[in-house]
Amino acid sequence: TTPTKHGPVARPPRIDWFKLVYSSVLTPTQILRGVTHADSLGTEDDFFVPVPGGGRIVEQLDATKERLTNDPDERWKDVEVLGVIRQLFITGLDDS
Amino acid sequence: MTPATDPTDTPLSFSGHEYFRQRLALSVLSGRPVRIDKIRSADANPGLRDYEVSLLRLLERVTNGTVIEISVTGTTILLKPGIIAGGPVTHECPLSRSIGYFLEPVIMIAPFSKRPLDLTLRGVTTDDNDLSADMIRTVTLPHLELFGISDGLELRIKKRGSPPLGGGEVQFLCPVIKQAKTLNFVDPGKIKRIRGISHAVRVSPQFSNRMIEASRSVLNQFIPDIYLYSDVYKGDDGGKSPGYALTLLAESTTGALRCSEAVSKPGATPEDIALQSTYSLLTEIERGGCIDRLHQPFVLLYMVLGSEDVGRCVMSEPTARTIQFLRDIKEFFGISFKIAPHRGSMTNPPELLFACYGTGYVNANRTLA
Repeated sequence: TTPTKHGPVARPPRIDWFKLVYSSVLTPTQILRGVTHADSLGTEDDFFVPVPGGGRIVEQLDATKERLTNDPDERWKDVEVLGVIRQLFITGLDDS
Repeated sequence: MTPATDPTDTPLSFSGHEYFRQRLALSVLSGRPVRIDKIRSADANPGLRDYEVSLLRLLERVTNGTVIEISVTGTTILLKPGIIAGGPVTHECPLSRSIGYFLEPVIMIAPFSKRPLDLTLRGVTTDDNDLSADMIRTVTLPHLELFGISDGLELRIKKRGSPPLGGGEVQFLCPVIKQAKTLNFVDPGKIKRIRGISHAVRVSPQFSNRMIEASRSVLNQFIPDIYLYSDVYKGDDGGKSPGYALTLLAESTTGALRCSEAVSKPGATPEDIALQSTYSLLTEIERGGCIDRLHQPFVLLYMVLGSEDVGRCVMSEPTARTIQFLRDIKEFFGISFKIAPHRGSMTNPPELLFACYGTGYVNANRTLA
């Protein structure tokens, strides 16, 4: 943890994006899923694991927008979360 | 003795149908031929889809001298780009994808054409997969202004068209530029206002007002400067199918734009759609950066095409499309971006600073005119 003016905050491990983008063999989706090594992608045995949906391959659509979930995001009912995002508006407290 | 071949004449090879559009656009801009194989080769219905063939036809019309070869099965294509001609073009888009699918690659290449582009597209104007006409008009085009592409840049929504039958029509006008300006955008600023367009076609106009009310109920607690515009089209101008959507746009003190959109779907009320769009905007604001996530590839591309100087821009974490776009840019232009955490970032995970040295790309088509 690192003390800041807002108190101790647990910092996530630093990601080397340059390395992930240009030197990694991982696909963009695997990078965003948090896979860090090609070794963790699976073994030969995984090839025989039945695929959900009866083996039918669902086509990955070349879409620009990300899918929105139908369920309302409960996170936005949390007062703390709302407090954090308020800082990003001009009406929020200025901490500069 | 065999004559030496120009390495830029050798086609760049890619596999699969994903990232199809960006590779075609990069090929046209860089002048490098591209070969894409294994297009749905393992699929029960292999090969190109109707919308991909339609996009190839559109690129053929917008350019001059482009050669496109498609294999018998449709699983391999070879594109040898010609010059970007521009001028008046009309294109009927298939109803399987919205006009945003077709406009995105065109927007990437249009400023570098020989003549100003006047493109009319007919089809679906708003759907769940691609940038809608509203988003392109209010967010995508202002992003282009960062690079000096502004005078005469316009998207006119003449008719709206919802899926499945469409019936919409838009006119895209794009000026030509000699060179893109270098970007230096590192201060995301704070959100100062929110704007939005709530549109409804072939349903009760009240749907539009209900979406506005539901969205305001959440956004009012953050900022007072909110203006959500109700856009109701009637008769033929409303297209052939019913539908409604809410597009939201947040603007910061430094001009950074973030957007979100939710489109009507069966079983969802206008309030559900409004809240989806609103929470999606808040998530986008929370991620930070000077550029909207959906528009990262546009900005990165114009940074590469900018003058021979260091361009810098702060963005949130890249999307899957952005990561692949960065890799493809390196293949086509040989340019890598420096990607480092941005000092002073207020977000978690921290914003990233993308920096690159521009290629000094000059619109050679324009000088020929």
